[in-house]
Amino acid sequence: MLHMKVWQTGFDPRQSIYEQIVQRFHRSLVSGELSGADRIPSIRDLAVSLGVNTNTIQRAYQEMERSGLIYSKRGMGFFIVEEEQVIEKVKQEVVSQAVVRFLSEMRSLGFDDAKIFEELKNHMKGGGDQDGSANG
Amino acid sequence: MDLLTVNGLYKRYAGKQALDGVNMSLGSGQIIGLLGPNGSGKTTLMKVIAGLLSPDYGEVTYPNGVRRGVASKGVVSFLPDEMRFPSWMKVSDAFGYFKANFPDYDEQKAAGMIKLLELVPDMSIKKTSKGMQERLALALTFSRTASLYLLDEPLGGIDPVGKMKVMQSIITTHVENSSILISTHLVRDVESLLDSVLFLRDGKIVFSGDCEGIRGQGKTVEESYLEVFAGV
Repeated sequence: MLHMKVWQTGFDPRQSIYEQIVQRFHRSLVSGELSGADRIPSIRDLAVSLGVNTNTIQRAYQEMERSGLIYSKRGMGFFIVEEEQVIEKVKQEVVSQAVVRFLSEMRSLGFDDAKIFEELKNHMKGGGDQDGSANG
Repeated sequence: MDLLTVNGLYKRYAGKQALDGVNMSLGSGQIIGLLGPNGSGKTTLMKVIAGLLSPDYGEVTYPNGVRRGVASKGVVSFLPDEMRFPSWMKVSDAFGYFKANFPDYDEQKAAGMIKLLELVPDMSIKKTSKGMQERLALALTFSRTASLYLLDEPLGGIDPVGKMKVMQSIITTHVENSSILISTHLVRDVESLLDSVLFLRDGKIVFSGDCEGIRGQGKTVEESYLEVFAGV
């Protein structure tokens, strides 16, 4: 089940809020907070807990309906679809975006692919938590 | 669909051209920010729309052809900068007063607001804190079923918990066929709440825009405010 408290950290005020909400749903699928067939919060409840306008949540839900990730059951609210392929595709996108972000950051620092790979290997030897992020 | 339109509004007030040709329209089902520095005319504009002040020129068109003179009772619920209560009143008396005076008063909405804003009906108003009195004023404003809610500086002088409660009450009150106009200079606090903004400077609307559109250009609403008012 989705714990919205995890989400209460602020939005990036320079990016469209509805897109950030869609991204949070996508990430929750990867982290396992949400899975197929789960019921998601009502538009009003999510608006109140995130401190944003109901129109913004509505737009995010419309977007996810259009992309086939959620659907509404009359009188019962919104649900994540059950189709495993749809969810897998979303998860894959989140992961690939994270990798692309990492790569472009490294390339902007002047690293070529071989050096990036080298750095990755060095960091992974120690278990991947040298920066302490495993506790964060 | 526009809920309300304002055409060529002029008003001299307190020796100043407070409104200097205001044109604007408010969409239905929207939360709109009326932003501008102190003295830009926000309060005067709200009072004219609420029907508490007469404009020198210009007109306001209300939903369902309601006339301006009766707008304050029929379609507009106005939260003034400061609501004063007689010293003998308890919180529950203030609700009784609204019930007796406004035909659109809704008992259920009032009960919801009392709960959300944690008001104590038996308490004497003069004994409550300033923050609590502001919450009471907001609860009263939202206990009516109006087409348009006008909130004049609803976040002024309120602590962070109160601010969160006020924002929650705004989000819960917001329904499809009504709109909420919020005047404030605390731009950052309300950014995530607003559909669109109107910037008022020296009695004129100098900018109007959709908030997601502003963010789509990689700017915060506050940054676009600073661009207009500080030339940043």
